[in-house]
Amino acid sequence: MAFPPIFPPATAGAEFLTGSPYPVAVLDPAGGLRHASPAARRLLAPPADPQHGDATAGPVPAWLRRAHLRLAGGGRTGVVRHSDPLAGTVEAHPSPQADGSVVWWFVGADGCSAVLPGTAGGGPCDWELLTRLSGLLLSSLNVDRILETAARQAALHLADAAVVVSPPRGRTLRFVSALGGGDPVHRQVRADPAEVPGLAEALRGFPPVPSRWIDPSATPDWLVPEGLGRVGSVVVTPLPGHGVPAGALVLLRGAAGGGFDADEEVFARMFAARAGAAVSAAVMYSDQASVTDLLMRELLPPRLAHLNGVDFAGGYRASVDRDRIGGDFYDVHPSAEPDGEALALLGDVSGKGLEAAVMTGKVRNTLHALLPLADDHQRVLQLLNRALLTSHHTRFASLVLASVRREGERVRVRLSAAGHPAPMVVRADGRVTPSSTLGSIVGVLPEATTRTDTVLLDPGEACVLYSDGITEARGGPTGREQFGDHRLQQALGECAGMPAEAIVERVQMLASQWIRDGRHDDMAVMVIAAPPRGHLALVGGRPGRAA
Amino acid sequence: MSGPERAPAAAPPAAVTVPVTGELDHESCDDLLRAVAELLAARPDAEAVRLDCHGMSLCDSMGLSVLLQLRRDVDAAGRRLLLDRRPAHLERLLHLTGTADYLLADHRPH
Repeated sequence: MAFPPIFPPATAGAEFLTGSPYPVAVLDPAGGLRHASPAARRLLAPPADPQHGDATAGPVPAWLRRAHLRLAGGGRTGVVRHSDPLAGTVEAHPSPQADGSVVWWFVGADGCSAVLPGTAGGGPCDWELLTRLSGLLLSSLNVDRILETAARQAALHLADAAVVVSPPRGRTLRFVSALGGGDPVHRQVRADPAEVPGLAEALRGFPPVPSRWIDPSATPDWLVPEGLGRVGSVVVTPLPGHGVPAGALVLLRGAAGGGFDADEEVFARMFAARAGAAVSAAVMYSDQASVTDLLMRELLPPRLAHLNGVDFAGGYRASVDRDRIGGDFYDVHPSAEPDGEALALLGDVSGKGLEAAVMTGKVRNTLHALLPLADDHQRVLQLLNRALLTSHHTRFASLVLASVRREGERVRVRLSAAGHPAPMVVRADGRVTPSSTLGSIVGVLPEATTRTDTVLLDPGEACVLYSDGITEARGGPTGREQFGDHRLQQALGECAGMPAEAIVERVQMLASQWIRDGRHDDMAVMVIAAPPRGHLALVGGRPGRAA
Repeated sequence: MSGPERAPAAAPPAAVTVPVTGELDHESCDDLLRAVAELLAARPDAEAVRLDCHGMSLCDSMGLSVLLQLRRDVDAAGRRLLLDRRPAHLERLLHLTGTADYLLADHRPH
């Protein structure tokens, strides 16, 4: 014989075929069905009658018989495609044997799962159950909740008990286990996954080994949920994730439960595929959410108060748009010496979302590092410009630097704008004038330039720094009109003599009323004010009326 | 610059004109970048890209960022970028951000 048979003939053949992951059938030279795996029998059976006949019985469908006879008549041995009403497109791959028989392997569009049409009610190939379980698994983006659902449902429908093992981190193994009908339990142990046969491989994403190869008595006690008793059989299946495995599913049956048959193992794999997709989507979501939260925490503007005889107040209203993090920022850095200049700054980064947030962090950190040079605003802005300049994008920042020092009862403010709206100066008599400072944005032009303006604030007077989210806020009667400089100026005129915090609240309130429920960008306001006469005494770090 | 200056009244250099209408913001900026990139690729003979800004109703910080990106792209391609018929709000933005000199400078390809 030129070719050894690829499967043990006769009686042993049926068992061999049963174990095949793909449906397979053997046709004798005349086109009669010699053997077929259970999946192939379901595939080849007439759709109206999905009966499970014995291995040698059952008709061969016409399409397969035709292809088989063509092959037997000396035709080319190619792949035959067939559209099955239940399984969709099926490819039949012939493998002629020396004795004239042909082994036909069937590959469905969806791997081997496509040829597992639903059996009416219950059973291991219950598509309705699988669909219902998929729905349960996908109904949450909470990783723990999904792991619990996977364990609970697997223990209920697939085995006596189920354990969902997460990919190991360090030497600790975390898993959720459930006993049929019971509540899932989170546990973690210091153990090596290799202690469970097949688990280390499954956690690395290797295909599962057949259940009958696993010695149930080798299952370590830490894995077995309390109450299951002696383990009779084990299935270990990987949870396929996006690129990296999402964990592994271990199904356990008690000693009296019997083994897992091939159909049950296939069903477990299909369940695991859905659980893996749900878990990895949730892991991705929670990673993203934690990055966003972390950045948000870092970017929250500081609470401002009274500093070396100057009142500072700030307010920030983030955009309510999908990208939660905006590009506005403000900071106040007190000077090292009591009579030195504090550096206040307020700015805005072009764009929104994470990229804007990253640049905001960069700007704030760089300015913090440049504090010792704060005497020279031009130099600070030049250095900041160089630090931000990149060939990758033209994202930029605009900001205002304000060096603030108390001089007697007045406050001296040196203002330098960098592509930012000039701060407004609110005089005691209600006059509001924009500062004359003007400069270029930082982060995109070869050089940054600015013209510094010095403002002296008498007691009760204030300097207002704001982002264009305020003046460009759209709303009003038409819903499309911008709040605009003149409305801001007018509003500030009514704030003469008010404390810094009250001015911030007033501006925020007016802008909010203007936009009502409309969309808006980030809105930031900071007020630097010379405390009014008679408010000089400090009470607990806050201005209070002198006794 | 050496060589004779090109007289503005002479036949204009082959230029492609891109009308910019409506709001130039984070929603529309990618479209403009793409439109200019496609024109640059399709018209290798064009010496200049003219953005007709007459119909531009708004330009926010993302819009400005895109104009700056266009300037870089067009410079890198050895062409000129011209911002024509600029509305008052755009002039104000270029002035406030100190980008007018850079964006409107006439970098002639050599």
